Amino acid sequence: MTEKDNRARIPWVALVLSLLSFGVGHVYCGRIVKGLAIFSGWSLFSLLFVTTALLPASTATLVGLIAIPAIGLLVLYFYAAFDAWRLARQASENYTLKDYNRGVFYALLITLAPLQSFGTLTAVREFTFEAFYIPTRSMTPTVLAGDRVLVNKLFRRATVPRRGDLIVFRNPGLGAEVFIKRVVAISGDTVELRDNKLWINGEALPRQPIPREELKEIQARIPGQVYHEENAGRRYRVMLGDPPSASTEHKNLAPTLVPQRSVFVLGDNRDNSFDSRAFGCIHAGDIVGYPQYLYFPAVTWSRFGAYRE
Amino acid sequence: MTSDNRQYQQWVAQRQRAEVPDGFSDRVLAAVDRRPENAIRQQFWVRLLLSTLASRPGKFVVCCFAFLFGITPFLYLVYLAQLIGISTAAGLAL
Repeated sequence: MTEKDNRARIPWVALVLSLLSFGVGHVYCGRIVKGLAIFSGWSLFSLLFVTTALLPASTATLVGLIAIPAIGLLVLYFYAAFDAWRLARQASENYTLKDYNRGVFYALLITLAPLQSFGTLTAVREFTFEAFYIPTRSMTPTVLAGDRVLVNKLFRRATVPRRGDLIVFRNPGLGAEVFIKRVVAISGDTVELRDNKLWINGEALPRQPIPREELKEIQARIPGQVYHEENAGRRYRVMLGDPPSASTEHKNLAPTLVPQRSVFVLGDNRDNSFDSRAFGCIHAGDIVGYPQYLYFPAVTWSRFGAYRE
Repeated sequence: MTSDNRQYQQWVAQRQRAEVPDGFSDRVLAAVDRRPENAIRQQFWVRLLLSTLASRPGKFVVCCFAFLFGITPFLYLVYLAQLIGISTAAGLAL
């Protein structure tokens, strides 16, 4: 061992390296295993998202999904910086340089770190969950204007949409703009509207009015009458009587056969929604995903969690 | 011995007659002058950098830049969560 191979570790350099990228400060201090484990934090984060997308939707799952990246990774970041600084202070003056104690290696890790984190986040958005902000009230009372929802995209190709499903899709006819609507009829069904009453395959869907008291905190955001509508054994809320576009034309639709691999979608705010009545059926291939969680409600945090009918 | 000495003296006399190229001394002097100047200039920047890094404010500034670089993935995460920046619209009312 030559004299040149012994160098003291400088605490603030360890701190800077760790602030630049998870774990590089540890590598500088000779803790390569711990450093690389911390360095891979963002990759582990993507595994968490994939696992969560496979779990049944629940409020607890959503809390984990938010807490781990938002709090866990941030805590890990600051812990790694502090720990690297502490390790450098503890290292003796005669720290023996390891093979990996080279500027090139640190630079490589610092260069790879953004690629890893940004790549992971982009992949998560493309393949597992994507967040959407809802700017309009076309899905009131299920989704209110100002809500932020998480859409599960993991099995969008493999999942066959069912009646009553909420979907997010791109409308190729409208510049690939993204919409959120409810599937009311699937391929092979005949859908019809008679004075705002929905008929599927010749049968009117049962509809029960909901007293306003049951709407609790969201009452102020509900300008019309809310009903429970039953469709293929599923029950969901729809609203009638939102005045802006309550035209007769909008309330009636001639019997329409839904083509193969397509769905007919309506907004839950039936009188104020731009949907299949205007732009026709949606091809299943245009479905972006299925809204699973309401993670940032516009009104009352009691709505936070998984979507329930 | 005498013969060897004469040969040696002839060799010395021959070496003393060696011609020096024009401007040789100028080139040597210029090179001598230039070297310390470069060294001083280089040392100035290195010294400035080292003194900046040795001071508390300098370290603080470097740490701030490192922190800004390090938290960009978190800012991207916040952006993807639709909490800042341009939002992706889903749902359109008439």
